[in-house]
Amino acid sequence: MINQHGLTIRASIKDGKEDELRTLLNTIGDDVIRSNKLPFQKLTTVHYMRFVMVEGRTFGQKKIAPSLFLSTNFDGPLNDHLKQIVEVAGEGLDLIYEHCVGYPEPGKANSANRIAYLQKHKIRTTTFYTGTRGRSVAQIPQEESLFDRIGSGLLNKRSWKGEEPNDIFKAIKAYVHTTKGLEWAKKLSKPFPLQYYLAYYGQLLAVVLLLLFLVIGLLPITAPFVLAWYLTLHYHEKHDTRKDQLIPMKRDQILARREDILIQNQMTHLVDVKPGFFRLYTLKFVLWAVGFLGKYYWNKGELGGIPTIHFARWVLLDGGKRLLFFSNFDGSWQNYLGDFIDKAAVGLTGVWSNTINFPKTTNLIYAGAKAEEPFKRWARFYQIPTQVWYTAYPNISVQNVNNNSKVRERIGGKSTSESMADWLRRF
Amino acid sequence: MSQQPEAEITLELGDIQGVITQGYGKFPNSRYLLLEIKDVDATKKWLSSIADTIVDSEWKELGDYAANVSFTFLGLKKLGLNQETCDLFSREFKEGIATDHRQRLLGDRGKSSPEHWKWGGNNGEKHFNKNPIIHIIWTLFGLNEEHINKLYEEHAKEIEAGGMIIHNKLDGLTLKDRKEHFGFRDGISQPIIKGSGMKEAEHNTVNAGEFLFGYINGYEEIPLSPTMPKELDPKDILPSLDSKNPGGPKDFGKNGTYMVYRQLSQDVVGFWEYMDQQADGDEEKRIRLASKMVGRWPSGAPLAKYPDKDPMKAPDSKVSNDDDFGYAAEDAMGDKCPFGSHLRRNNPRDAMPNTSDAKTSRDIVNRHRMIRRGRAYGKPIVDTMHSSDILKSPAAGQDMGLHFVCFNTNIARQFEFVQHTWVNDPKFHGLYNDPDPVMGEPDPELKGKKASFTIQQAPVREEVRDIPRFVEVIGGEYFFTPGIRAIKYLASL
Ligand code: HEM
Repeated sequence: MINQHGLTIRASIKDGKEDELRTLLNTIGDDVIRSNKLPFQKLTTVHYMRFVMVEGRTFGQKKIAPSLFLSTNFDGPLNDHLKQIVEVAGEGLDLIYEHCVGYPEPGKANSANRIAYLQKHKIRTTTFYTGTRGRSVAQIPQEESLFDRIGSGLLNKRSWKGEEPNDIFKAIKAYVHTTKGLEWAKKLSKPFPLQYYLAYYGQLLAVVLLLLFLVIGLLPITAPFVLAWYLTLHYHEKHDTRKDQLIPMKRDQILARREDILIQNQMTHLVDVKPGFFRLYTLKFVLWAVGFLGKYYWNKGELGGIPTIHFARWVLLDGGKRLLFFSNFDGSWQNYLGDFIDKAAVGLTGVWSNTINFPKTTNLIYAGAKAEEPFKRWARFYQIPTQVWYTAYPNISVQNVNNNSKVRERIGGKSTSESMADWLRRF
Repeated sequence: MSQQPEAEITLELGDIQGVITQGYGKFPNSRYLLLEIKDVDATKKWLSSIADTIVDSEWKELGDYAANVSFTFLGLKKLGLNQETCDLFSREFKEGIATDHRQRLLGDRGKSSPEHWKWGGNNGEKHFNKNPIIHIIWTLFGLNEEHINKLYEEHAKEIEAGGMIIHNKLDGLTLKDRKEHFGFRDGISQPIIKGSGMKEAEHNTVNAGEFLFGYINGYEEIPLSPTMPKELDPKDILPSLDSKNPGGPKDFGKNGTYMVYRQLSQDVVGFWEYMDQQADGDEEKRIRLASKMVGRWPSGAPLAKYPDKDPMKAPDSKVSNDDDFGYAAEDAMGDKCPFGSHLRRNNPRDAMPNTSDAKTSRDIVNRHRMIRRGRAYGKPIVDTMHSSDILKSPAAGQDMGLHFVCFNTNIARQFEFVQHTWVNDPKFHGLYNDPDPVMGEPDPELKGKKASFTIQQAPVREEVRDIPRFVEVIGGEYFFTPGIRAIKYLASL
């Protein structure tokens, strides 16, 4: 098992360089697999990677330059990941970041100063979610091939009618043990290191203790605080106004140009947070809660009941003025948004009700996304094009990844309470 | 963009075109005429003359024929529908059925690409072929071929006098025992429109707004409808968006819906040859495999209730038309009706994966239903449509298939969703490489790996691989099927 992380890098684009950069990125994005500028497939630490250009803005006195976002979902320590990016894709990075402020002059870039640049422009990922926890970039296709080969090499060869599940399992195990190229599957993948578990349960314990303390120890303070928060929310929900806007056709078509090419899709979404500190802090709390639940509760491949999300993240920008969302998912936009409404409306309404023009909500988490057409119009309106998007295993769904691991674990000898008959249903 | 019309429960049957609410079982034959408008004024006169001959949904008894009319987006524009109202149609309808993106979404690639279509595919920005632009579809239903020919002669004259060119006439048939060309009884499962007066199981009764503009849909909302300011309807033909606000906007969409029409060519011999190969020439096995793929036996009996063999009851018996079943209690594991079968994936009923219970599943699934009004075309290879006869008599190169027609108010969430997420997505239901085995597109991204089909069973599943594509698209367009008043409004422009 390996620890997966989200890296977000934000660089300001030089004045007047936006169009040039967009053209460059679009050329790369049109054919990521064959891009010779960025040999993505050699980036063995990368599950997903994207480059997105975000428009500049002015907030009051403050002017924010247009920026380039680089996001990766990666395995293992950050330093190894950065090192791999600059070593494998250094030239491509130079071509891209030449358009950005502060990047080493042409010809002067080297591994050290490229890493320094990326480190310096790294920003905090507010909330990170993974649907395939612990599985590495290499492991996911490897386990897929195990599944496929058991099917084609053994199960499809004859009828198994009337045989005992345990005997079939023995046959599968024997097949894996004697088949060239599947030796690795005799053993389980390495467990998470001890530090991982210490940190994981340590944080859980800390949160539980803090909550207990707030609820029991500090009740006289907590209760009025929560009440005041609730009344304020009520006030805002009553008085917030909204515009219902339809995305212009042209913009919609730019988004569609990159959709449904693979069975997986991506989304980049950017919307202003409602003004005022009340909404910002409510949002921060909800994002924290979603991250927490994503880690401790929705950690078996489903985010709030949605079984198609590989990785997702929320990033608060510009001191909490804007909320950026990246997602990598299986299936179409309609399916994804439909799942949001049908299965996870409460969670996502809790987040996005704090951003502008979101359909009207009640009690923070109700109504809102349940208004299907207005919600879909809102979601599409604030979606922005992703110029470059790479996925390391385009033909494998989240459900496949998680099912493959269950197949592999049993063969590798992991104990499980699942009956053998149920396990065989995984094929 | 906010529209808050009242929520009506009783349908205005007299304003709803009949083809939406009934299958015209009385009329085995049909003819679809694809028209281009040349003389707009003459066409409006024609529209005004036919508006009252169109069959609505208030029928007690049908006359001796039925006719209905629908329009493409370019057709509505050509007739002069104002820009503001045009803008309120959905993106899918405005863009047309053939776009680069939609090709991927619907699986219209390779031989099914609009480049090769015999008709349609030119209503959007990009013209995929040299087919003429279609503005109107005029659908005629009659008692037999002779009758259709006679009707056609009369109607064609009026159409030509109405300043239109008939570019295509496509014939729909009713085959023996209401089968489609692979030999399976079709047209059994259908959602019931709430408020239409038809009584059926609650879970199969769907809010009218899923199929008609102006009513509450599956999300308890009124779908966004193409409306217009009152001034644009000076003769006061259209209904008001909100009847309590007669001075407010007028609703062009009311009682209308979108009609998806795709002509699907079926490789009947290829279908049965594949089954036969997999079954090593064994008839029973061959029929069983094909039925597992369809989800019903050739007679129509559903596998979920009759898992072992085709009960072969009479075509109009309860068994052959049996639609009273779910999967959650009877077949949760897919041992009877496989997860990936055409029937189950096109309507997972109460057993949608990743839903908490049967009721939730039904609620979600019912937001992806459509009213299917397809008809077969082309002479069957053999009249019996038995696989053994089909395999004995190689097809003489004739084309046959299905005029797939369906009605829905949200093409993206209903037809396109089903076609993409349930039919073509090989990952449906947690599967791996299984698009719809009957009519799905094997994913071209899978580079040479053709489609598979998984048959769930104890102790371990059976799987067939390398399934070719049996169904190709050879024509299609998106239409709008307006309410009768809206037709009169168009005539008045
Ligand atoms: C040539 C192509 C096709 C053939 C041969 C075919 C055949 C069949 C058959 C035999 C049935 C069972 C009869 C019934 O339950 O009514 C059926 C049901 C159905 N088909 Fe198709 N079909 C085709 C295309 C399509 C398409 C393009 C769609 C939509 C995208 C579709 C959607 C459905 C639905 C929704 C059902 C009913 C499922 C249920 O409610 O249980 N079919 N089809």
